This record gives sequence, structure tokens and C-alpha cells, in this order.
Amino acid sequence: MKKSILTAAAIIASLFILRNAAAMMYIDINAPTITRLPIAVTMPVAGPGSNLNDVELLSTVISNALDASGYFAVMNPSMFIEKKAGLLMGQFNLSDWTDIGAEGLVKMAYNVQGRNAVVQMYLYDVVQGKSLLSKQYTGSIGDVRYIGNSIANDIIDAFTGHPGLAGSKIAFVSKRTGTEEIDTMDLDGSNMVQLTYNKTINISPVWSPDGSRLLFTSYMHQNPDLYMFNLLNGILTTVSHRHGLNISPSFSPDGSEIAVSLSFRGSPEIYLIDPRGRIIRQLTNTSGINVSPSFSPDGKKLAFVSNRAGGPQIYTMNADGSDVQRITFTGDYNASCSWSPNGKRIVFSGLSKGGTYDIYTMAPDGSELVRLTEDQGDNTSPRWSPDGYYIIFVSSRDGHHQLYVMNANGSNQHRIIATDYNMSSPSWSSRINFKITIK
Amino acid sequence: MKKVVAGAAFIVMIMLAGCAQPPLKDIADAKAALESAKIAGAQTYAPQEYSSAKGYIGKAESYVGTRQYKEAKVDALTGKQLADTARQIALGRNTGSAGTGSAVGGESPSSSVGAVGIQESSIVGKGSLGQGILIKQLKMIHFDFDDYALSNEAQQILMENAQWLTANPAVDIQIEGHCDERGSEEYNLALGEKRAIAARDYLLQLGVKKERMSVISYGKERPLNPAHNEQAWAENRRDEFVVITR
Repeated sequence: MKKSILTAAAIIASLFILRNAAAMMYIDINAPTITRLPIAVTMPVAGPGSNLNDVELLSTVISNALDASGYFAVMNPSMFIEKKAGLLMGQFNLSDWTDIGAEGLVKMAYNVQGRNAVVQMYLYDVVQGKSLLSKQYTGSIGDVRYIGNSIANDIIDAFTGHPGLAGSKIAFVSKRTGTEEIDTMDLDGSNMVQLTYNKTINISPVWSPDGSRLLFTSYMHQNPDLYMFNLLNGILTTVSHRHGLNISPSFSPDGSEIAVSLSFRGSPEIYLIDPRGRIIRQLTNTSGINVSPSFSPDGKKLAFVSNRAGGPQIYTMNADGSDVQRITFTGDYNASCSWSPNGKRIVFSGLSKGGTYDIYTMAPDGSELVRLTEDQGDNTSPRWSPDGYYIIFVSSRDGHHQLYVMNANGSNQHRIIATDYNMSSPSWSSRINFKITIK
Repeated sequence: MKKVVAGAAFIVMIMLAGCAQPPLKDIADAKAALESAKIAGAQTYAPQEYSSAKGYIGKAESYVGTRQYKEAKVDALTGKQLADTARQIALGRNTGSAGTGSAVGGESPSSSVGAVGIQESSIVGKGSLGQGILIKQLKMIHFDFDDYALSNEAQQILMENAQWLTANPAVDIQIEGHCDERGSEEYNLALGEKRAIAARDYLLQLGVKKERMSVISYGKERPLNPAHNEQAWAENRRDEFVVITR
């Protein structure tokens, strides 16, 4: 397999930024329900020497990222009635857009300068006739996807007050091939890349904080061992292949340590190890089950799942294993905990009274329990987005197990992509600016 | 190594290919997909997706009329994708594979599925240890939900298995612990190992040497019965004993 490291050229953004001075909130992401804002993304005006494929791809990437955010209804270009018109306010008719129901409008100019693509983007509120953003993006030709994701993130920022996450990746377990392999994809479900090909069981993929490495457990050598994929160079290393379980990994916030459940001493206990698999310290010591550790963002505490009181429940402890506190007391089965990036909430999946598994969040001391899913099949394996605004999870609400995203308050639940196979164990990376390399 | 480009990206590539011919095949495919969706009950179970698919296919046909073949192709493909989605949703609803609220707990006694444990047939395969030829599959044992205690029946089966192992000292066994599909993958991996170890420790008490037995957990990843109901869950909460010749 050829090496194809392709580090994207950094975007030199913002030659000048015009922002609406009285920044009004168009879309309140904390609202209980969100009405998608109709937005028109026009085909960029292409300068001389442009590759038309790149120009079309740019608008497609932006449209898909806006759609995947859950905040926008991207209008079908076949509805557009505007004939040739300019990019600047005054050079086009607002009514050409309001007449077809658009509220947001994206216009762009695409030009080639040497080996770079330069995109000038204009964002309008056509209802109020206001310019919201005017910004220039530069990247190397061939990085259209990266430029498009940057533009989409700025558009999302302009309408919601926080930048989008286009350009981050989802790693997950896919049963597309019949066995459980690890795949990655973009937030809109596109760009699927299969990472493992060992035709055994591969589970629990977890990104490093910088998105450059992926930890997972695989049965490729007939035992659930812990492996790490370096996505920059495609090199796979064995982290821990101790006898028994080497499962449920979690990176420390700085990426230098790994919490993991190992059973080589008899029972699954949580250990802190380094990326080469050497044990730093043992954190739990019971004769029961201890799995699924998740660090608090300051690295001082971990949430984890233990059956020391009978069924699985969520506990917290200090990073040295001291001060163990049980924090779930409702229901007989609570598992899959994950600590939010802002440190204020822990998300988990619990067995509800009706017999379904549902997603809940709570404060780290177990107070303020909030149920986020109800009457929607089984809902499991929740994880936070890197900015903490969203939760990704698995749901059976549409038949197969599929991946869904919702806002942290449970609103705006939507499926990432419909497939005819089961998908599970999602993990959401920070925004990465390199192409994943596999060998 | 192959990469899979899916969904929207696929459509983009088609768009870029340019289309001088009317996409009659794409429209026919989309219509066939719509018909399959209809048969699957998509009008009832996925009305939005179904009508949206129908709309796109209609638009694709009118684009052919106006010789806008590229637009026709895009709408035909979109229509087909939506029709496929509608069909999948409908199939999911029909077979009830969507999570249902039935049957909490799943504490049915393993005796109700006792027949599953009787498997004396010789099969070949498996074998990650030793020579790896399987000559006999010992009876399985079953467990209650979220439990790794050995029931009386399980202990009875283990005694029979121990007798057979004593009479056949030339073989080793791998004990595989399994769980039902409910709950966390990671917790179930641990639970499966606890189940396998419970059987190993009992066989040890019955005189089977420790070095003849290895354990592995497959958690919920290898169900025997793929159905999503109480009966399947009870069958799947099990230990299997894989015999390996040295």
C-alpha cells in the first residue's frame, strides 16, 4: 500500500471579515426543537484556469456539511430562479431568493492563483437584506474538501454562535462486510474508509485528542488485544496483548496515557498504561467487573462502570484510584459512560423502566439526571463531540443499529447516514487536516 | 487497499461525469426501487421518504422531457437512494427489529431453552490452539441476564462434560463466554469472560486440569440466534466448550 501522507496546507483565512455588528442569534441550539433554516448554496463563479470538478465539489461539500449539522435545510438548486447576477449586495435581487423561500444565501468566487485555490465567500440574510460574512479562504488545489469544510464551519458559526465541526471524523464499528471492522467517515456520512481488514472482531475505536491515533480492541490474534493505529503513517502497533481482556480504552486529555480494562490478573480491572502498554498503575481492585473508563477533561478523575454493587453502575474515582463514588442509583443497568469536554456532564446509556436502553446525562456527582431519548428503540454507546455541543450514539429506532447525532440537550436527533447494516461504537475526532493513511 | 466512497460523494462523482444520454436506466432502477419499497410497506412505515422518492423520480422524468439529462440523472439517483432508505425503514418496522419495549429483564430460566445445549455432533473447524481439529462439541451451559452464577442445570452439564474430559485426556478445551445483545459491548465482554471463568473454575473443582482449559470472551459479538427476542437472548447467554486435540 502506497504511502499517501498529504498534510493539508493551512488555510490562510480572513483577509478581511465583515460581521454583522449586532450579532443576532438565528438558530438557538439549546431550543427544545430546531426548525432547519432554508439556505441556498449557489455554484461558485469560477475564474480562469479553474477545474470545474473542484468548483462543483466545493459547493457539494458545503451543502453536505450544512445539512449534516442539522441546522439547515439546504435548498435544491433546481429551485433557483436567479439568472446571472453579481456576488455583492446590490448586484442581485433579494426577491429572487425570498420568493423561493430562502433565508440564508451563500455566494462564492473560485479562483486559481499558482498552486492555490482562493475562494471568496459571501454569506447573506436575504430576509433582512444583510451581509453576515465576507471571507477569503486559501488552500492548495486538491484541498477543496478542506476549504469547503472551513466555509461550512464559519456559516454554522454565523447562524448559531459556535463553529461547526465539519472536517472532524467519526470512527465506528461497521458490519458492512459481515464481520466487525473499523471504518471512519465524515460527519455527513461520506468518505467512508475501512481501517481494519482482519475479518475477526474489532471494537471500541477511540480517537486520541489530536485525532492522529486510534485505539481499538481486535481479535486479530484470537484474543481481545489493544492496538493503536497511527493515522499519519498507517502504522499499527500492539499496545497490550496480555492474557484475557485488553478492552475499553480511553486516552488521557493530553494523549500521553491510556486508561484500559485488563483481566490478566483474573478480573477485569482498570489500569493506567502508557502508549507502549507499560502499566503505570492499577486503579481498581475488586473481584467483579470494571470497564469503560473515561477521563474528566482536567485529567484528575475518571468515570467508569462497575458491578461491585450488583448490576453495572457508573462510578467516579480520582486518577490514582482513590475516592470511589457511585453516581447512578436509578435503574438496574447503567453503562457506557463518557465525561463531557467541558467537565460538567457525564453521558451514559441506561436500561429504562419500559425495557429500552436510553441516553441520559447527569452532573459528575450524579445529580441533575436528564433523559435524552424515549420511545425510540434502544439507544446506546453515547460519546461527546470534541466541542461538547453534541452527542453521537447508536439507536435501533429505524430498524438496524445506526448512528445518530443530537444536541447535548437531546434536541435535533438525526441519523448520520442510512445503511442496510449495523453500525456501532462511534467515536468523534477533533477536526483533522490530514488524509488518513492505511497500509 | 480499497476505499469505499459512499452516499452523497457517489452522487457527486456521477454528476461530474457529465451526461449526454437520457439516464433511462437510472430512472428504471429508481422506479424498481420504489416498487420494492412499496411492497415492503414504505407508504405506511416511511411515508415521507417514500413520497419524497416518488417526487424525485417524477422530476427526473420531466427533466428527460426537457433534455436536462444531468439534472434527470441526479434526481433519479436521489430518488433511488430515498426509495432504498424507505424500503429499509419499512422492512425494519415490519419485522419488528426496531427496539421494542417488550420483556424487561429477560430472566427466563435456562431450562426453557435446554434443548439448545444438546449438541453431540462432530464438526470440523475452529481451533486457534494446538492442532486445531475439533472432534466433538460439548454441551453448552446457559445463564440468566447480567449473571455469571452457575445454575443447577449448568452444574449438571458441567459434571457430564468433566466426565467426558476425564475419559478423553488427550484433548484440551477452549471455553467461550457469550452474552445477549442487550447493553454495553464493553460490559458484555467482561461479563462473557466471567461466565467462561465460572465454568472453568467449576471444571477445575471436578478435577479437570487447569492447563487443559483456556477461556475467551466474545461478549455480545457472536450470537447463536440473531433474533431480537427473549428466546434468542436466553439462547445467546451461554458458554460453549470447543474441543481441541493436542
